[in-house]
Amino acid sequence: MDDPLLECLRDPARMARLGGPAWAGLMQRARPRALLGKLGRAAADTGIEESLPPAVRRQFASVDRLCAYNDEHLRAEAFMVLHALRRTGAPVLFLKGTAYALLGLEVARGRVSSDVDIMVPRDRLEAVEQALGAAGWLSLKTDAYDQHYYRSWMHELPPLQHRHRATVMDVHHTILPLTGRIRPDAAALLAAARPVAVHGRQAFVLEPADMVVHAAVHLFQDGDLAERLRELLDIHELVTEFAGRESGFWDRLAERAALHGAGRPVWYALNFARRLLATPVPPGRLEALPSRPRRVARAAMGRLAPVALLPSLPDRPSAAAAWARRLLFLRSHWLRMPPGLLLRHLSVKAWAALRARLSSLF
Amino acid sequence: MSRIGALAPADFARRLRAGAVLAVPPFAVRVQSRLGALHRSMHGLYGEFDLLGNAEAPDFVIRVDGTGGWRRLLRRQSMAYIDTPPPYVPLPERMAPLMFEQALNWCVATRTFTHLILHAAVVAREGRALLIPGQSGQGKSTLCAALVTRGWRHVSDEFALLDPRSLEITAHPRPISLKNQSLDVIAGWAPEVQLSEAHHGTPKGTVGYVRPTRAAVDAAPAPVRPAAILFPRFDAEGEAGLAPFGTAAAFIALTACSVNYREFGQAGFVALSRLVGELPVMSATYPDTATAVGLAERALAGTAR
Repeated sequence: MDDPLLECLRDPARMARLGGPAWAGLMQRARPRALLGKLGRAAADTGIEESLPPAVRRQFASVDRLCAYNDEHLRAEAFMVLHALRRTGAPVLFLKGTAYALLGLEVARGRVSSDVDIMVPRDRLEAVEQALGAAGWLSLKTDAYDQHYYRSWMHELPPLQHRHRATVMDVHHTILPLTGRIRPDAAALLAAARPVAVHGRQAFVLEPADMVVHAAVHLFQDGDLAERLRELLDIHELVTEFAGRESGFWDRLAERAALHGAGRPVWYALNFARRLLATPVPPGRLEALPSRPRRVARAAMGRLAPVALLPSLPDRPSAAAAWARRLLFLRSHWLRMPPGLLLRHLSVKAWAALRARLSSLF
Repeated sequence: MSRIGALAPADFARRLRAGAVLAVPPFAVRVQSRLGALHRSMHGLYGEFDLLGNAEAPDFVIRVDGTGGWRRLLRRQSMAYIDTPPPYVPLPERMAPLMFEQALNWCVATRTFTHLILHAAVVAREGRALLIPGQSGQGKSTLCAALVTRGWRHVSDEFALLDPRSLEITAHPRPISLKNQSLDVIAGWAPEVQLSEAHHGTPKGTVGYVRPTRAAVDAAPAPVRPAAILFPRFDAEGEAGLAPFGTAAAFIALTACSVNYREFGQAGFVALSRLVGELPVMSATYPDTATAVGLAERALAGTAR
């Protein structure tokens, strides 16, 4: 696809040739979607920083400091969480950005995200929640329906926020909603988890193939894709690093995708990563995935996903992108819940939104 | 590159409508607006600043325009559009200049991590700078305006951009924002000062700006070294004078004034510790501007060696 942001991510050397107006647009699109740090890292790795305009170098230097802080922050928060949960005896598994930072993966470089994600066995959830509450983690959702929604149907507790440090945390017991079409094997995720030390305390992270499965289902099974190019880049970087480092990674990925019933989202993830970011997926690997999407679904997603994924310019919202995102939003909900429950959920949400609008008018 | 004040107002307005890159040292800011109120105000307040070519890449992109929708029929409002929804509300259209200043402050404060940023005014004489920290409303801008009209260099009026390693401050002179009585105080103190129109009825009361001088803008590329820290305290009844300020208290006050201390981690702690450890730190209590200016002069003179 011809898009300046994609082109610069694929071929960072292009950044050395951009003019002022192109930079303005690029930074406006990259920054809100946490891609500025990624561009900055890519520029540094390519050795073209010297040839960039002074304003761009300043902004890259700023975001670089922010990323370094973010890394320290995630590590410190992870330690605090382990400390708070030390008496529960529950194994604590860190997910997403926190895991990437703890492992020092390539994907963590230039990645700004301050939220902490953990996963614990479902039968320990109550003890974990209590211990976290005692350590100052409070629920962000106070609405009774929201509480019910998360607790009965979702894969995580309602988000928590620390009352002094303001860090936001999601506590998962699996990686997809309980009501969804795909039910990953949470016990298998925990059983295969790898240990990681956090300032001397023991924690866990998903094993590499499971980590890719999680990133894939998060983006392509449980999301509307809207402007979430950064998550596709995560997948690209994870796959590229693991394929070069973990022997048998591709076989393992197909195997774990099958185990979790996630062949379809993993297919989408690899397909779009290869198409948009030139991820080196060896021939035959896509075809080897179980339960690939059918041709009609592939064609529809092929049209909608790239349009939805790319961040828009704030001053030029695109009608096509808005429609693609609306359709994908419906798709994500369709995949999330059975029709009856979906209808009930959407009507509750619509009624709440209407009430909020009415009360803001009067 | 051309000085904004040297452009015909109509020419400048045309460029802002199309989008123009301004040098607001140390930053390049792309500004776009259809609002005449902003064109006129910026032509005056930023008269000594340079307009960079449109081929220049900007640090920040700020568009200030009317709000859309049917509400426009009831009230004409202005809003700054950056790239993410900014955390402030629209203001009446005539207050577009405030909208712009607010948006640029927000960009500087939330997106700059090359420098440790303190809410502080910085003024200098003979290459030695006085750091005047304070949250808004504590009198730092008024004191800054009073000093620059007495020949001090206007280094920064809102944010001190401190290099955590060298402890040098990069100049960031901007229109000095004065509120309510401060406007009359400064107009009385220095009748020659170039004040913008007063904006009445803003969320902070009446607001006006002091136009940065050519000397301030021309000197901006040169960083300064702080020589003393002065916490201002306007008090009509209290006893006027300088008082020493404890090192630990000063450290805590500076962290509270910093917008990005947290992000600097240990480097920020070391920088502020060195700053309060190496420099004389004082508080100045004063009932009026003349006393304040005298105390500032004494504060800097007392540190001559």
